[in-house]
Amino acid sequence: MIDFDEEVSRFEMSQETDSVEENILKTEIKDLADLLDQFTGGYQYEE
Amino acid sequence: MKNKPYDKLMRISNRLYNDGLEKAKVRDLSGAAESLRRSLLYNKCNTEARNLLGLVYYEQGEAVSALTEWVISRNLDNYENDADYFLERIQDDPEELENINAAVRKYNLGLEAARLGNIDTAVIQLKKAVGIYPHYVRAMKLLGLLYIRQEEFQKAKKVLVEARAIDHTDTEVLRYLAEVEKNLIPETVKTGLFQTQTPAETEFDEEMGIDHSRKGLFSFFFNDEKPNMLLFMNLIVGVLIGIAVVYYLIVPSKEAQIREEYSASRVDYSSELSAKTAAISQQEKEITSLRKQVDELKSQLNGITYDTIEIAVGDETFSAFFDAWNAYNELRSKEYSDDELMKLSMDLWTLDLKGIQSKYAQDILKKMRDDIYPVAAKLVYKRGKDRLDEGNIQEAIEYLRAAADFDPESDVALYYLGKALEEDGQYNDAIYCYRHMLTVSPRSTLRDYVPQRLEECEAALDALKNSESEETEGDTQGQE
Repeated sequence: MIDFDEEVSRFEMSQETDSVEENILKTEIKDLADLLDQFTGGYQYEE
Repeated sequence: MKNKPYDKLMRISNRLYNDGLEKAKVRDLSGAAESLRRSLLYNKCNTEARNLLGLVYYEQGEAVSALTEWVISRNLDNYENDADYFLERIQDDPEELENINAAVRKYNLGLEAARLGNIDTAVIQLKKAVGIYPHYVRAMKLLGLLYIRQEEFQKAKKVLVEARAIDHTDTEVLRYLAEVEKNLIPETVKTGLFQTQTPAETEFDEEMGIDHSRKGLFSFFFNDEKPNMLLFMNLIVGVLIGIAVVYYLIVPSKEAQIREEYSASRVDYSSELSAKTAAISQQEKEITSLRKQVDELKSQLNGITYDTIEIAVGDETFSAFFDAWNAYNELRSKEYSDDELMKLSMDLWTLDLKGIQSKYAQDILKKMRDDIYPVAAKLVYKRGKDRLDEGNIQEAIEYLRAAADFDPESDVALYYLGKALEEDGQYNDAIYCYRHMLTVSPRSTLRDYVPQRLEECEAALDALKNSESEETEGDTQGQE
């Protein structure tokens, strides 16, 4: 059985396209390599 | 020198990208997005994964997320990056961007209304959002949820099935659909002549692109489903039996009925024809009889034409009467001259009424005179006066006498008639005319001349008497 109010509360407001820049600024562009860098001191690997 | 930890991260990222790509190919968008996000977690510079994630977001209707990923992708790697192409395509179509924004605004309004409990308003806004941006899965999900709340399960199913067609593995969509299926009564759908399907089967066919209506005759007759063929044969046998019943039972009785109606109508027409024929022969007899009567009457008319009228009118006035009658009728039917009118009036005037024995002819003559005299009176008087002035006394007397008869109250006609008679030596008649004029027209302007005229006439009469007495005495003396 679906709880309507609970389901509705899961939905979030959408953003319009002019908020892309703001969205980018909010996005944390980090990966495990960055974490690894923190531990290794920015060691560069070779391919 | 190899750096094993970093290599491992790369490999994991690539493997996850491959996984996401495989999922995206079968429209497992939610799964693909998850794999691609994880891929980027291992390697943020995996441009392919980021670009594909943007595409997945865009397909799900999450345009802002898609644009964000592509912009980041371009910033991280600006060399032959597919993100450039995607961004250019989006930016080159401002109408689409505007549509996306409009749909987002409608969705936000709908979500707000749903949170406040205004379900109807929310449904309206979300329908608009989906109408503007048909790939907006988030709006479709919410709309489906609202339909479920309204217990509009068919509508909910429709919109959720559409959402599922975009993203096959969206867990919320699948959960809502399961709820809908629980509440929907299974219905069988007719897909062919004898075939039915459950909704689930129909849905499967729709997804697989199977169209039962396009089945050819070959597949229809050689279908493996034997009961359907049997039913079809039964139908054919039933139709044949029906045709036989119609041919052997209904058609003969109908034919007999038509024959009877035809016979009855033929009898009716025959009797009607006989009656008409009798009527025609009767009318022909009447026509013959009438023609005989006409001929008899014509012969009678020919026999009485001149003789009878001659007897009725009289020998002397016969020609004059008919001439006058013809002239009268002729004048009535055309434009006539003064001379013609005057001649007719004089002809009528000279006709002797006493010579006409027939009362009918007398009436005709009287009628002609009553018509002509008043019109011709002035013309005749003028002719008489002209003749008097010319010294043609006899004609003057004739015309003036006629004028006095035509208009018995005409003072001028009486006066100048008296004068003409006086000049002709008919003094007694002249005196009568003068006196009669004074009687019928006592206020005439000519009345002042009458005493002198009378005096002259009487003087002339006295002179005549004297000369006659002298002549008588002379004759007596001579005889003596």
